This record gives sequence, structure tokens and C-alpha cells, in this order.
Amino acid sequence: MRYLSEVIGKPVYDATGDAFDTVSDLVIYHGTERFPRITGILLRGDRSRVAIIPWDAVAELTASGIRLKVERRHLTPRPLQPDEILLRDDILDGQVVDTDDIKVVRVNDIELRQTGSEVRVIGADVGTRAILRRLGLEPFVSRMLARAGRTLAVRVIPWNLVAVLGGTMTPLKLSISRQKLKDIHPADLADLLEELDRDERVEMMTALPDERAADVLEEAQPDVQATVIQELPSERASDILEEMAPDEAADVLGELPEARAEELIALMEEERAEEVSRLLQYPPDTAAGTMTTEYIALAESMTVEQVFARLREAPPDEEAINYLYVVDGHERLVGVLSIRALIAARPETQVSAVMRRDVITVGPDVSARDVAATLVKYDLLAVPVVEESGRLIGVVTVDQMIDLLIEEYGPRKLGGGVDLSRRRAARTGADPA
Amino acid sequence: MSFPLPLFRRATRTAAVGRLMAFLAIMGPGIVTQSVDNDAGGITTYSLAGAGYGYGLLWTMVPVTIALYVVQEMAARLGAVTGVGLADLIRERFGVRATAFAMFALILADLGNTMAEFSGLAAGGEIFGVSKYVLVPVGAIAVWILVAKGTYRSVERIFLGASAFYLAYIVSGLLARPDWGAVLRATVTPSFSFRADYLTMFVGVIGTTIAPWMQFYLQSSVVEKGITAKEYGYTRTDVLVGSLMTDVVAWFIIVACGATIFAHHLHVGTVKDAALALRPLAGQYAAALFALGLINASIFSASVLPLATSHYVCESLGFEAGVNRSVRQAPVFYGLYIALIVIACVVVLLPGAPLLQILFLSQVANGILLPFILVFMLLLVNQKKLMGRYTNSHAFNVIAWLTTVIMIALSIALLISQLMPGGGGGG
Repeated sequence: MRYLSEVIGKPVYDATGDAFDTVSDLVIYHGTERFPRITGILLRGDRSRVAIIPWDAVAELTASGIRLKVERRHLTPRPLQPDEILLRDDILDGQVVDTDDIKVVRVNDIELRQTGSEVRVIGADVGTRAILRRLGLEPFVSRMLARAGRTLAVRVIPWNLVAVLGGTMTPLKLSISRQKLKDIHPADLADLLEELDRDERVEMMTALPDERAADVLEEAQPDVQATVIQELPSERASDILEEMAPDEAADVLGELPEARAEELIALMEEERAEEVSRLLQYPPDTAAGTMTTEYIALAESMTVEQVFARLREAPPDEEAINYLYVVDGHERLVGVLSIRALIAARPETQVSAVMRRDVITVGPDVSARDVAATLVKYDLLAVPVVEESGRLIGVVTVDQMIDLLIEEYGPRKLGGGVDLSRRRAARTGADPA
Repeated sequence: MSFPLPLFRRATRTAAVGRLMAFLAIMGPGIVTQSVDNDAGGITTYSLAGAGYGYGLLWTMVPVTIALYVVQEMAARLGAVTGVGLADLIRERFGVRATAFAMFALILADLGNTMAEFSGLAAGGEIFGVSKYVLVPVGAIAVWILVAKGTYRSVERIFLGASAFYLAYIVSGLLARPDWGAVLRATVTPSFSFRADYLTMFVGVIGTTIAPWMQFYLQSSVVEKGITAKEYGYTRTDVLVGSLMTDVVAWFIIVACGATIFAHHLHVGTVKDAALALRPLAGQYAAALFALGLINASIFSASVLPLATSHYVCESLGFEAGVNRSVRQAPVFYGLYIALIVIACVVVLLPGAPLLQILFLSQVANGILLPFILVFMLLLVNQKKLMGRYTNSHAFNVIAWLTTVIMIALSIALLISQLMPGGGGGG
């Protein structure tokens, strides 16, 4: 009795030895236990699938079936509890997340371990062997393979590394999912997100804290972003969008039906809502449509020391740290300062004395393709987007352009010491082509 | 997740593909599925129906269209409500045995379809005087590159556009000046025969119109597009338009062939003969026009079908799948994919392989295997736990079950007629 598939369909005997029914499903309490105990049995005769026979009533589980301690008429069935799940109905044949290998796998069988009368779930069998076993082909295939000098590999994921997503979301279930997903990198979670079904995606995004959910969504592909936001309750969706970079949030909102996008923007904090709506006005394939508004703008009169103080106070994102932009009183771009120049300068020097005044810029309507060309030509990590009046409205970074750059220039044609294919590979986890 | 779109995600960020996606958003999954449905096997089967029986099978187009709409609507609704593809759903609700059974049926049907695609390619090439020993391997490699390099999506629009070639049949049908009175009468007058060849043709016509793979393909497309029960109204229209379009084209193919080939008592022995129906429109270029359409449809469908099949099989049985994985990571996926293509190619390349028969009989196989998939769909779509208030209406259940029962009955009748002495072979 090592596997769930072997228990299902086995006869259930009561204390008098009468085989009065067969096993339809087993119940576990989906709590914090690493290897959950079986808490009850669902019988085939129970058509409405509501009456759980508590496991306490079980005398023993053997290869011939389940023997109960009591007579049939003394059984006290109870309803399924909120945090109980059915192994066969809810987990077997469904998808779960292997949090160790970080991938979505299908549960071909569930491995059980018996100690005395207690039975625990110890692993999800995701191997081919489990499929063959359930098809009744295991002995045959094993023999064939044995003749070829090979064996059928077993692939069981220990249950403590399995995250079960989807189904009813109780607070306990969500907290367990959050716990199980907590060590996975957002980029990996984004890959998982793509493989998951709709309900499972919703649970993952509900279980994660806002900030992490936003990180995950930023890494996901546009079609996945849109469907996930569509599926989540409005409040939750707008909370996640608020935590995303405004340009990323605008991209997601741009993929949604207009009414839904407006609804979500209305729920966002006012300042953020305004910024996102403004970004949404720009066509997506232009400089303004791709730019981020999270950049650092300094006043000409600031000293190098003051700049450092300002940076310490609110450390910028990694993407925004390469260049600092200097603006005048009307937000017009007057110069650019690299971090390198800043470090080399003396603390009391004014920014205007160390900045470069001949800044390469692009207009808001310039096509994304031309922006990419500008970045490549001048070997820049970012280029500011400037209106005709000279006002700085945003910055396009290499990171935002990376997909377009690879497509346009290919890893080989791109010089500048940035091996884009490697960077991208590190992000997607794929082998660099 | 499931095929079709995720495979090509890598490429979906480019501007060209963005435009394509916008285009497809308007087209909708229903219409796209139906465009792929008019493939080499389909066009051959309809041509043979018209060429062999004149307007005798036209009446089937009415009930077949209703059945097609009902079945495709069920697939789309299953996708929208559950958010899960059909193969995965069969696995999750019915377990390993049922899945293995359904996937076996799907593999058989699609092996037939893949053979049909490569036969279409070979036949199209032969019309131009290009040997199949050159064109089929080249085609197989082209399909591999399109898929493996992820460039398939960017040329899909060209394929889709070129599949408008079937409109040529509508023009040709009109130019052939059929007796419209007779045509319309035939459309509403059912007739039937228990002759083996007639039964074979009957099953083939239904099998090519309502193919098993379409249900998987449509449901996955709906899921992939993120369509939910809320926005489902549009999809219903989309499916309806797609079903009507397919069958209007099919109807015209039968009319065109009936008015030309059948009326002149010509015998269709090779695929080239089937091009005669396009004479009224294209004159001496009829064969060339036909061949181009066939080659386009064949490569288009050969890029989609074997890949989609290995996807459904692997995902539902828990093997890793996807062209973004390496062969070592997903051996079963690649193994099945390559096996489908290689087996199909080898069969088609056998010296003297009867291309026309392969094209036609593969569609008959689709028809015989269809009820197995329909039963699963019907059981799923009527599960309250799964579908809530979106279970089938009585009318839908009646039509779909009737389709299932009729297909089973026809298949059995076909089998008996083949076994009976004097019952001739099909095709």
C-alpha cells in the first residue's frame, strides 16, 4: 500500500468483516505538517461525496483493503472541513509546483507511508513509472527494459517541497502557499506563472505579498500579465499595479479592455494613477511609450556632497543608477552626470561644474527601434526622453529595450562590452544560444 | 499551460507579432481554428464528395454545420469556464486510463492527418513536376525550422491569408453555372445509401469537418487568450462565424466539383484530377492554383498539428513539453513530434503511395475517432462541479449526443459493409 492509486477502489470492511463499500478518496488536513496525515475516507457508496469516515475508525490498512474498528452502523461520518482536501479529487492528476526544481509538474500518483495505523502523504510521484503502474503496464515495461539492461526511473518529489495551488483559497492555504514560494526568485515565479492554469495563477498572485507579486508580474510575458490582472479581484489587482514600475503598470493596463483599465486606475493612489494615465497616452512603440519615469533628476545648484546625501536618503533602483540627470527650474534637461564622474569629483563641487552638457536625447515620438539604435550607436545604458520644450519626461534604459535590441542587432552584432544574450539567458534561465 | 500560443512566446514581443496578435484578436480562435480545418485532407474529401456523388452529399452540410457549431461551442465554453485545455481536463477529471485512451485516439487521428498534410505537399509538387522525394523532405525540414526557430508565428499570417485560396472554389462554383435549382433542392433533400463507398465518404466528410484535433486546438486557444465566462459572448459569435465560413466553402467545393467533374463523368484518380473543378475560374492554370493552395495548406497544418498533438499528449500525461526545452529535457515530446513527422513522411514517400487515398482515408479515420473525444467532452461539459451554470442546454445535449451516436453507428455500418461480400473498398 505505497501509493494512493493502490488504495482507491479497495474494499472497506467493518468490524464484523463485512466488505460493505470501497474507497473512493482519502482526505488530508492541508495544514503546516510537512507530511500530512490521512484524516478520513470517502466511500464510493456516498454518491453526494460529503460524508467523511474519520481515520480514527480505521483498524488497519492492508493490501486487501481497509478494516474498520467498528460496525458499519456505529460509524459517525462528518462533513469535509474547510482546510481538508481530497487527495484524488483535488491533487491526483492535477498540477503542482515542485519548489525544489522550480517547475510545474503533474501528479501521476501520491506516495504514502504507514506507521502503525497512521498513514502520511510523503511524496508526489511525477514519474512515468506511476503512469505505467496505473495503466497496469508496469511489470511488462519493467521486464522489457530489464532485458535491455535498464530500469524504470522513479521520480518522487518529497511532499514538503510540493506546493498545491488552485482550489478553494482559505487563509491557511494561502499562508502555506506563501511559505512554500518564499524562496523562489520572482523571475522563476514568472516562468511558473506561465505554466499554471488560471485558478492556480490567481492563488499564486493572491498568496504573494504585494511587492513580490509586482516583481513577478513585471517579469512575466505581456499576455500572461494581462490575463492575471483580469482574473484578480479589482482591489488586489490595483494594489499590485501600484507596486510595479509606472511604465510596466502602464504596459499591462494598455493590454486590458478600456473599461477594466479605467476601473483599476481609479482604485490606485492618486499620484500613481495620474502618472500611469499619462504614460498610457503614449503609443506603445515609441520612446515615451517605453520609458520609465523612475529616474533621478538633480538641480544644477546642488553640490556633489548634497547629491550623495540625496542618493543615500532614497537609494534609486539598480536600473536608474547609471546616469543622474540635471534639470533647471522648469524641468528642462541641462546636463547628465555619470556615477563615475560623481565619485571622482570633490564633495563641494557644484553639479553644473562636473556634468556633461552635450546630452544625447530622443523625442517622445521617436520609434522604439530608433531609440534602440541610439543606445547602440552611442554605447549608452540609458537615454533621456525630452519634449520639444526641453522638458525631461522620462528615461529609456537598455534593460527595457533588451528584447528589441536582441531582435534587431543579435548578440553578435552588439558590441559595447554588453553580452546581451548572456544577460537575457541569466534572466530566463535558458542556455545562451 | 497548453499549446498553441505558449510555444512561440519567445517571439511574441516583436512589433510584427504584436500586429499579428491584434489581427488574431479580431479573427478570434474560432475563425482561426476553422481556417486550419480547411486543410489538404478537407479540400480533397469535399472534392471527392462532389466529384463522385455530384450534389448527392450537399444535404449533409446543413446538419454537419449545426453539429460543428454545437461541438466547437462546447469546446470553447469548456475553455472559457475552466481555463484549462481539453487534454488536461480529461486527465484531471477522468484519470490516467481515460487520458491514455483519448490520447491514443488523438495520436492515431493526427498521424493520419500528418500523412494527409505530407501527401498534400507531395501531390501539390507533382502537379508542378517536382518529385515528392525532393519536396516532402524539404517540407519536413521547413516545418522543423519554422517551429524550432519560433519563426512560425511571424509567417502564420501569410499562411492564413493564403488559405483564402479556397475562395477560388466559390468563384469557380459560380462560373461553372450549375443548375442552382437542383443545387438548392439537393441541399435540403436528404438521401442515404448503405453502400460501402458512400458510407466511407459520409464518415470522411463529417470527420474532416468536425475533426478530433480541432476540439483540443480551439479549447487551448480560448484558454491561451485568457477568455473567461464573462467575455464568452464574443467567442460564441466567433465560433458561429467560423463554422459557417468553413461549411460555406465546403459547400461550394462540392458544388464546383459536382458541376464540373461529376457533370462530365470524369474520373478522379489522382489529386491533379481534383483540380479540374477550378477550370471555370482558372482555365489552364487550374492545376497550378490548386497545387499552390494544397502546398500552402499542407505546410500550414503540418506546422501546427504534429506539434500540437505532442503537446497535448505530453502535458496531459505529465511529460515535459515545449520547443523552449532541450531534447534531453523533453525526450518524449520531441520523440513523439519527430515520430509523427517521420512516419508520415516515410509512408508518403513509399514508391507508389496512393496520395489521394491517404488524403481521403485519413479523414475517414478522423470521423471514426471523433465520437471517442465527443463522449469525453459531453461528460465534462455536463459536470456541474466543473461548469456551474454553464453546463449544456438540453438542445445542445441532444444534438451532440446524436452526433456521437450517429458517428458510432456510421462507423459500425462502415465496418460491416466492408466485411460483407461484395462491399467494395472505399475511396
